[in-house]
Amino acid sequence: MMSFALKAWQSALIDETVSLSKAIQHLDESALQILIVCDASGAVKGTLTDGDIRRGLIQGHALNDPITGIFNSSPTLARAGWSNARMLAVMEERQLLQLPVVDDSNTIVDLVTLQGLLSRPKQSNKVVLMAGGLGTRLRPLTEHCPKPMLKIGKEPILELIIKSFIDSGYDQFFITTHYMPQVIQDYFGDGSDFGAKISYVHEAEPLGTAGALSLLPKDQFDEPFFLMNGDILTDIDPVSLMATHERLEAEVTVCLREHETQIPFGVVSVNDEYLSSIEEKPIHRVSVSAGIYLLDNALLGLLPEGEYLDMPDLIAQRSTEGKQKVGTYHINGTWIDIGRIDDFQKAQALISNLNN
Amino acid sequence: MFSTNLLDGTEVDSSTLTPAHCRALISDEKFDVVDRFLTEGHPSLTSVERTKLEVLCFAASSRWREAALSVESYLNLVDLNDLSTFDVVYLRKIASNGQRFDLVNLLKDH
Repeated sequence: MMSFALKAWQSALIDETVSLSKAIQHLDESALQILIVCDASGAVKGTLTDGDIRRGLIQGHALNDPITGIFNSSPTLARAGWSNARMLAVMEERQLLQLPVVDDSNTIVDLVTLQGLLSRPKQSNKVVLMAGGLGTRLRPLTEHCPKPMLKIGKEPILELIIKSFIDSGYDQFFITTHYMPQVIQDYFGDGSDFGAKISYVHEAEPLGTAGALSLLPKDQFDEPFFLMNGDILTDIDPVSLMATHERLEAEVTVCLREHETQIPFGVVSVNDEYLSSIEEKPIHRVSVSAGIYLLDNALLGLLPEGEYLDMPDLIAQRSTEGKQKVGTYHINGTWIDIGRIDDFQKAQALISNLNN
Repeated sequence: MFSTNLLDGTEVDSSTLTPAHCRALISDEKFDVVDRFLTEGHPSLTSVERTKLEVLCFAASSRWREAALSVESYLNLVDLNDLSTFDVVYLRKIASNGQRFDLVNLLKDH
């Protein structure tokens, strides 16, 4: 069951003899938008919300009156042991943003909030973000700023990526750096301002997208981990990707994106010097690697330390090993690889549309 | 005709299905049964009721992508100005979990 820390819901407890003005002050301070009225033993006698206070004032109660007769003496309560699904069904049906949880003796044991109930559970898998590139194709924008720190809307690309993972419950990051590492470290620090833990791995010399992995502290990787280029704008669901990786029992899962190329000519097929067909400006659709991977942690032990290696080479290497499996996961939603100026502008337009 | 029994023994089938029945099944975590009711037949439910229950069923079973799709369908069926504070918080959080930031932004000002 999703719970608030003990002190959070304890700060919402109140005695029924307190005055309305004290209760308003208490409600304001607790920031939970609800007070739970309890007797000395902790048994719940009711709840008090802004709505109850408003109704009490309309009925003529004064600010120095006790809250008796104002609070809701028959609130909806959950029983300890109820499933999240059951609490959500009750909250949805009765339009409740908070739900006190009581034990068999009607004593308060928890206060569940809708926000807390709908929060995705914390995931322990780590996320490695590759942010060392020189961003040559995006010059002059990248002359004084590493590509992952270019702002899309109001936030750097890397921040959008990090926040997206955090929203999905993943909050432990390693960022590999090479070009202007200080700009990245100064912005994100240890990640605490973002509700995350961020560590950095610096490549003195570029080691390629897979080679940089050999610098990661292997002892901290005991589960599959995400690897993603730090210049991709996407709405991929990491939880769904992880589920696919587990279902396929893959060693590596490569995210794919459909890419269309139109040939600007009439394409002909020839059979024994005779033309058999002609197709004008055909569109070819292929799947391309999207720069997002899930890797088994055991792979880290197989990488030669400090040697240059790109992910396509590693994937090719692993996929030709008979027993190893390289899975795939198709991205159907948003995916923009911000490698060139027109991609950068496309990403700006997308974020601008979302914010308007 | 598809039918099932609630925990209290009440028999429910597609023709007598109510939102309360669906919520009881969701509370018991019988998500697949609700899924089947909602996809196979639901003559007693309105489109709004059905879609709202889809949102709840998917959210309760942490199927966020599908839940967010149902949020989109629900928003197409109702007037945004009629949404309660609860609805806005609830639907926005689900849309966010489903990575549908267009819906999150749509709900932001309501």
